[in-house]
Formats: sequence, C-alpha cells, structure tokens
Amino acid sequence: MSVAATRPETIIELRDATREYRGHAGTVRALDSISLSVSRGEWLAIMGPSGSGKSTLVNLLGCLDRVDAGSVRIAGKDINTLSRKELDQFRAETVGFIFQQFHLIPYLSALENIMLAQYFHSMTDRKEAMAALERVGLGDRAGHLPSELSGGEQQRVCIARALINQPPVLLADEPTGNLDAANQQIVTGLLRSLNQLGHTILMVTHDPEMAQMADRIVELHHGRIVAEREVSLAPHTS
Amino acid sequence: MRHERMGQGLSLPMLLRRSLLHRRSRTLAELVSLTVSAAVATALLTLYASLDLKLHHQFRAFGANIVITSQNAGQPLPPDALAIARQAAGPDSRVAPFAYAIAQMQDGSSIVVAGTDLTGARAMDSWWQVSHWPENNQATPVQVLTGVRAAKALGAERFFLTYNGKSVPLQTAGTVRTGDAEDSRIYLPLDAFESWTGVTPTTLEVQAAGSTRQIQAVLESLRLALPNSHVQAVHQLVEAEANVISRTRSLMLSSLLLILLTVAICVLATLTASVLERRRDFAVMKALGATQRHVGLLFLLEAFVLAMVGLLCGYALGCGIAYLIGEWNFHTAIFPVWRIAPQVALLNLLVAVLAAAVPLRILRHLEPAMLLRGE
Amino acid sequence: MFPRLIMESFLRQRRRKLLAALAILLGTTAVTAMLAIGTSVGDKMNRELAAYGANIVVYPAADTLDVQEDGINIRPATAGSYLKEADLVKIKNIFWRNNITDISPELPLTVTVRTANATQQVPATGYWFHRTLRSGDESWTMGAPALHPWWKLHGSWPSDTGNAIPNEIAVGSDLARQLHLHLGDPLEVQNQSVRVAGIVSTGDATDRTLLVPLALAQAWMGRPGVVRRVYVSALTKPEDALARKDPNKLSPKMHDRWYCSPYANSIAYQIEETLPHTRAEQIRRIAQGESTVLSRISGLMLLVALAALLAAALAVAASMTTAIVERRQEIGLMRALGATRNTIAGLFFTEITLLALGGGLLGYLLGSLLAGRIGEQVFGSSIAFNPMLLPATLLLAVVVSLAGSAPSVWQAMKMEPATILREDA
Repeated sequence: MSVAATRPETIIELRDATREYRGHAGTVRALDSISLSVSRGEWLAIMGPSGSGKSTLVNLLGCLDRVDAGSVRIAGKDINTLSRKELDQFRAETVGFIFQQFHLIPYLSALENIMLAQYFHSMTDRKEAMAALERVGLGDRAGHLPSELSGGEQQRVCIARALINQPPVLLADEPTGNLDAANQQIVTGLLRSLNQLGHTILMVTHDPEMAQMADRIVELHHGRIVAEREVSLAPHTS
Repeated sequence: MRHERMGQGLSLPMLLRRSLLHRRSRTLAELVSLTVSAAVATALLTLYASLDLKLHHQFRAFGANIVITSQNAGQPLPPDALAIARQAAGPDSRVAPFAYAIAQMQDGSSIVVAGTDLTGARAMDSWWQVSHWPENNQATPVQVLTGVRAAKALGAERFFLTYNGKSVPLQTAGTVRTGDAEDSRIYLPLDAFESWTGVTPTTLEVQAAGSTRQIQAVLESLRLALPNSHVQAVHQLVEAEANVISRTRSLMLSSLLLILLTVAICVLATLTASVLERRRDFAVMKALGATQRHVGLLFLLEAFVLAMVGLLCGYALGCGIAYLIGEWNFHTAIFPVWRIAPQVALLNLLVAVLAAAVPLRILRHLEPAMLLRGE
Repeated sequence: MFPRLIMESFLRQRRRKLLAALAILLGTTAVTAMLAIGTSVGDKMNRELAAYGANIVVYPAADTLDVQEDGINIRPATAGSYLKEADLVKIKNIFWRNNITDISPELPLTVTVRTANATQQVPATGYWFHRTLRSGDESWTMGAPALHPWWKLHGSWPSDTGNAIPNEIAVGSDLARQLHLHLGDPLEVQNQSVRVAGIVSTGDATDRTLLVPLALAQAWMGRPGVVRRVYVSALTKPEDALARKDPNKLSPKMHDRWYCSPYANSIAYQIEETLPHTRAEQIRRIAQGESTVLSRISGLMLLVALAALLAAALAVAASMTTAIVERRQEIGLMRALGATRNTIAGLFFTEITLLALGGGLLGYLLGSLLAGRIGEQVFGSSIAFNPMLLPATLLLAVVVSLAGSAPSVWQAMKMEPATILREDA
C-alpha cells in the first residue's frame, strides 16, 4: 500500500493509527486505522473537508497528541512510549511549526521572536538568528515589531523561527491561508526552496493549487485516507 | 526603541519588561488590584493594631477609672497622698483630690460641699456640663461651682454656709449639671475648702491612660505606693471598656478576613484575565519548546514583580487611609505601624498565591494544538 | 430565540461564568455582612454599654438636696419626698418603651444592726433584685443586679418575689468583713431577724452598705410603696446637635423629630411626661461617655463596610472583565454571523443582570447568615436579617456587574470579528 517504500529513509510512520474522542454524544472516531509514511525530504500535502480528521492527523504528526491504537513513529521514536514531558521535549527538537495566523509574540521584534525559539530550545545566538532572518529576506526588518510587518513578512518571520533549531520536520498549517496573492507567491517560493534544501514539509491546505506544490497529496474523509497520489512533475516544481 | 529591540540578547528580565510594558492597561489593572489588596490589608491591620489605644482614648470620656480612699470610710487620706499618687500614676494619668463636708445653709438644712482641684476635675470629668468655671482662686468671696439642684435650693448667687460654727461668704461663679450626685453639691477650690473646714481630701480620683494592662499596672504601682489606702479600679468602667474593645477587635478581625477574601477574588480575576488574554502567546512559547516550568515561571515572575510594586504602593496608600480614618473617626491621627509590615507582606503573598492558582492551571492546560487550524 | 440563547448560555457555559458568579456571590456576601454589622454595631455595642450602668435617673420634682458623701446617703431618713413604686411600670409605656432595658428603684435609709458582738448604725438601700413587671401581655424581670453586671456576688440575691415580707438580705463586702458576717449568718436589723443570703463586692461605696429587698426597706421606714429614686438604663442614640436642643423651644416639626429620636434627653422627657411630679435626667457621665464611644465604633465599622464595598465592587468588575475576555470569541462569532451590536449587548447585559440578581440574592442570604454568625460569636446575640439591605445589595450587584463588564463588551464589539476569531483560535 505504501507508495513511499522506495524512498531511502522514512522519517514518519503511522501504522493503523486510531484516535477517538469521547463526548456527550458517544465516541467519535476521528482517525480510523490510518497508515502513512513520510520520507525525509518529502513535501506532503494533507487535504480534506472539515471534520475529515485532518486536524487530528496534524496533531499526531506534530507530536501534539497520541493515538489510542496503532503506532506513530517520528524520527525513529515511538510517540506513544513517551511521557507528556518527553513528548513536549521531543516536539521542540523535531517539529517546526508554521501557523496560518503566524502567532508571533506581539511585544518582541522579528529578530527577538526568532531568538525566543532559540531561548526555549537551548541558548540564544543573535548572529544565527539574524542569518535566519536574512535567509527569508527580512534582514532589514529585524527590529520591527510584528504589528509593523505585513502579513507576508510575518509569515516569513514565522518560517525563520520554525527553522532556527533545525528540526527534521516542518509542519505548515495553511501557511498561505491568510495571505494575498503576492505574499502567497513569496511564501510558496520560500517553502519550495526549503524543500529543495532537504527539509521535510507537512502541509495542511484546502487550496488545490497550493497542494500541487507538494510531492504527494493525501486526502482524508471520515477519518480515513480516501486518496493518495504523487504529484507529477509540474513545470513550476522543476 | 527599534534600535533597542535589536541590540540585546533575550533574557527573562527583558521578556518580563517587554510583556509588562506592552499591555499597559492590563498591567495597570493587575497593579490596581494588587495595590488595593495591599492597601486594604495595611489599613485594616493598622487600624486593628491602633484600635486599643484609640478606643481607650475614647473611654476617657467616662472619667476616672481608679478611686483611692482611706481604709476606713470617711477618714482623710495621708497629707502627702496626692503627691505620691501623682508620682506613682505617672505623667500620662490624671489625678484629682476630693474632700467632702456637710455644711448648713442659712435655713439650717444640710448641703454637701466639696473641695477639689477644679482644673484637674475639669480635665477629667468632661461630661460635667458647666455654665462657667470659677477662674479667680484668690477672689473674695470665694468663687464656687454650684450643682444645679443646689443652686435652686440656695436661691441666690451670693450666700453664706456654716461648718462647725464657722460661717463663710461664697459666690456661685457657674453651675454644674451631671444628672448625678454632683448636682446637689457645691465645689470649692481645695485651698479655700481646707482653710474653711480643716477637712483634707478623703478621695483621689485617678484616670489612668492606656490599655487594660496599663491601667492594671498603674493600679498595682498605686497600691504599692499607698499601702495604707484603699485603691480600687472602677469595675463598671474597666469591665465595660474591656468588653467593648474585645468585641470591636473581633469585629475588625472578621471584617479583615472577609474583605481580604473579596480582594483575593479581585486579584484572581485580574490575573486570570491577564493569562486568558495571552493564551496564544503562552501556547506559542510551548510550541517553541518552552516547558510548563518556563511558562509558569514567566507568569509567576510577572505576578511577583507586580505584587511587589503593588505592595509598596498599597502599603503607602493603606497607611494614608488609616491616617484619614483616624482623623475622621477618632479625631487623632493613626500613624503607620511598622511592625505590621511583615504581616501585610505575608497576607498579600497568600492572596497572590491563592489568586495565581487558577491562572497556573490554565497555563498547564494550554496546548500548542490550539494554534493549529486543521479543520 | 433570545431567552433560549440566554438559557443555553447558562446551561452550557457554567465554567466560564464560575469566576464572575463567585465574585458576585462573595462580593455581595461580604458587603451584606459588613453593612449588616456596620448598621447594627451601634445597637449591639449600645446594649453592651447599657449593661454597664444606668444612663437616666428619675427622682421626685419636689425633692430636697441629696446629702450624699462618697455615694452613701446621709440625709435623715424622714427628709425628702418619694416616688410611688406602683407607678414605675409606666416607664415601660413610653414611646421608646422597647429601648428601656432596665429599671432599678432605690430607697436608701439608715438602719440599726445588731450582731452577736455589736450594735451599729449602718447605711442600707432597698433594691429590686429580680422583680417581674407586667404590662398587658408583656412581662420583664428587672432590678439592680442586671443594671450592675460588675457586682460580684457570693451566695444568692435575696428573694423579693411573692407578697410575703422577705427576710433575706445581702451585705456589702467591706461591711461584712467589719461585722464578721458570713453567708447564711442570722442578724437582727431594726429588731427584725434576717439572714445573709449573699455577700456583694462592688468596688465602690456600696461595699459598705446593706442591700435589702425594697419591700423590707419600705417596712423599716414605715412608708410602704415608696422609692427614693429610680435608675433607668435605656438604649440611646449618640447625642448630636438636635439632642442638645431645649424641646420646648423647638418648632412643632423639629419637636416631633426630637421626641421620636431615642436620645437620652428625649427618653428622660417622656418619662417625666408619664410620671407627673418627677424629674428625669440623663446621667451625663454614662450618657456622654457612651455616646462618644458608640459614635466612634459605629463610624469605624461603617468605614470598614465602605472598604468592603469598594473591594467587592473592584472584584466584581475585575471578574466581569475576565469573563468577557474569555468570551470574546463568542462575541466575534455572533458579529460574524451578522448579529447587531444591540443584539449582542442586549444578550450579554441581560445575562449579566440575571447573573448579578442570582448571585446578589444568594450573596444577600449568605451575608445575612454570616453577619448573624459573627453577631452570635462577638455579641452572643444574632444580627437579624435586614430586608432593607436586599434591594440595596441587588442594585449594587447589578450596577457594578454591568459597569464592570461594559468596557470589555464594547471593546470586544469594536474589534473586527475576524481578528477576534483568529486571536482566540
């Protein structure tokens, strides 16, 4: 079933992952026995309508949640064997988050927002943070507060922040959902070049055009994977 | 400002400072509630600590609380008793001597005349309603203070009284009304009284100042100094005073607890709002690898800094409030009581700790997952 | 739709309303308790102080001078005029009858005492000890012991109930020592044999006297049914400017106000009206002292109640802000769904008003109970529910809750719905 078997190294592997929520109206099976693997350096797009289990899957992939049955292995670790605290630690090491709403700390400058990620990870390094900011083309914006930046610029700061601790996995949640066409272009380009540099990207999107950027698209429905296809080499992904 | 935002590394103090300055209105609200908390605790504890003294001062309105007589009723006290009593009672106490004799009016009926230190009596017996105090001690005829009933019986302002066959002219300088035995008497300056009747004081009235314990101490030293006299506390007064003061203290204490509880809710609410408003920021920090400890520490430090500033402002404010309440209610200032400072700090810490529990719980349950919009 | 929305909100968002409800509840509890205490502390303390001595004395208007030295009456027994003992119950019929807590008549005289060793003239005073007064359906037990709680008694008070001439007396401690009298000893007074039922220590001149039932004193004097003077303990209002006015010079309206205020002076005035040919006067030492102390303590407690009010208002306002902050998303959602600002404001303010009314009512009940408990603990008598406080408490709860939440509700409504929704994701 797994198409990715030919790939050299598997970084994420879900086996019969099941997640259920207990509510007033009984148990809801948000993910129903899903199996999926992602190789290092792959760009995976996750699609699906509301209620398809998309966000549950993202929570699992982002080490934010654990399965009720089956297993999730990320970077060689079985997530279900980790304690809450270990999971928090592991997440900080393994996953870089790119949010639809950017989620920058409003009272810290662009540079400081990046340094904050270093601060919680290990120790701050201004030079390195500055380099990350320059990589996303915002070297001249280092001292600006998020409120002084455009949406696209904020998203680029967010991407720089996600990268700063060199996590093996980037999790992008509707990264262009809040952006206009021009900024969408810039951010997409940035993600592409990151992917080409070997970063693994998991991207949630509802935009089919955006999904075409990925190597592979997984579509969810009612907690199951209903479609999975490799994206043919389109002209702009060359 | 922008320059500063680039020029320094990231540290906890810097994060704190930025976070506090960024949300000025929220910071102010927290500061206000923490200040109020400290101010209320300070004011009430200061009042509580000064209550004894202030109320005892009010009880001076009841007059003498210790009475000294000779062992045998009606016998004069030793001549030096007044001086000894003044010495033993200390400078804060008031002492007034009283001597009594029964004289005859012109129609032959009896009347009680009393010799006293009129200045002393005036200071001690504030409830005496006197039309005019005799002022000239040397005047002839002798200026006297006449009880209202005695004045009615005498009929005239100038009159003669006879004691032991010795008749003297007297003049009423003013009348006194108390509703009690004083209304039937005539009060003379002690010197004039002694030279007329030859009777020396039989009673010393002492108004000892201070708390029940201090009054007891004055009582003891008077008993030691005047071993052959009868030194008695005015039970009526001492017991009423102790009773009223202890009840007022209990009331103050219950009020203090009740109000502090209310204030704790206020602090709890502002701290909770402060965390709720920044749920997202804290969740981002968690997503970036901040542990529960990091986030909790950041919040607690922030609360601590505000609590400290609030404590300082509140202490000053509370002292001011206590001072004003003293002026309004007791007509004497209530000054800061330094020894309550640790208690205020402790109470405030308690309030802050209680109030921080809910926000900390919220922080613990924050999940970075809330930042994702998967659906 | 509207009531439905509100009901749903209450049913589903219990946790979110918890803090606000708790603050309203605690705030109103504290305020109610403090106000109940603050308004009744004067009355309670008055009772405490009233127990420590009479504040009004009544004597015959045509009286000759008291010839008292050191509290002992040394006037010849035959001099002076008297009040009728039978009239005293009328004091309980005046306008402020319920404020009269004790009536204690006295009849001083000098008696001849014969013991085993000696014969001696000693001062004596006739008192009521535990006399039951009846007027209509009501009855009260009154007398000297109740008026002098600081009197320390060994043994028991002489019995003075029933119609028989009593044969028990109490002896002041100094006199007992002087005459070598002990509990239960027989002695002869005015040629009548009596028994020492109690020995009393008072700390004043009474220690040197005999304390005898009034009927016995009257019999020894040969004047049945008379008393020399009457001490009355009344609950009074602290003296103010009006109290010191001469009632006969006041305008009719002011006179009514003066008459209907429980000043020591107006109670004395009413006693004079009831008992013709008497003088009733406030004992200024007690009345003035009480009024000073009472006004200070009441003032203090009211200031403290004010502090409680302030703290409660702040707490409610703060919790309201918090509650709204927590529900900003809801407001954003409603706005996004096209609700007008008026609808949202109406919804929230109705909800807050209901919450305030509910919390306020419960807080009033709890606060009243708490005040009662505190009253019981501190004064040994409960503080009654004060229905006047209920509307005040409710109004306060509603006004403070609305005022406290209004800024946050407006602020939330001013924000773009999208911003709120995103922010609180």
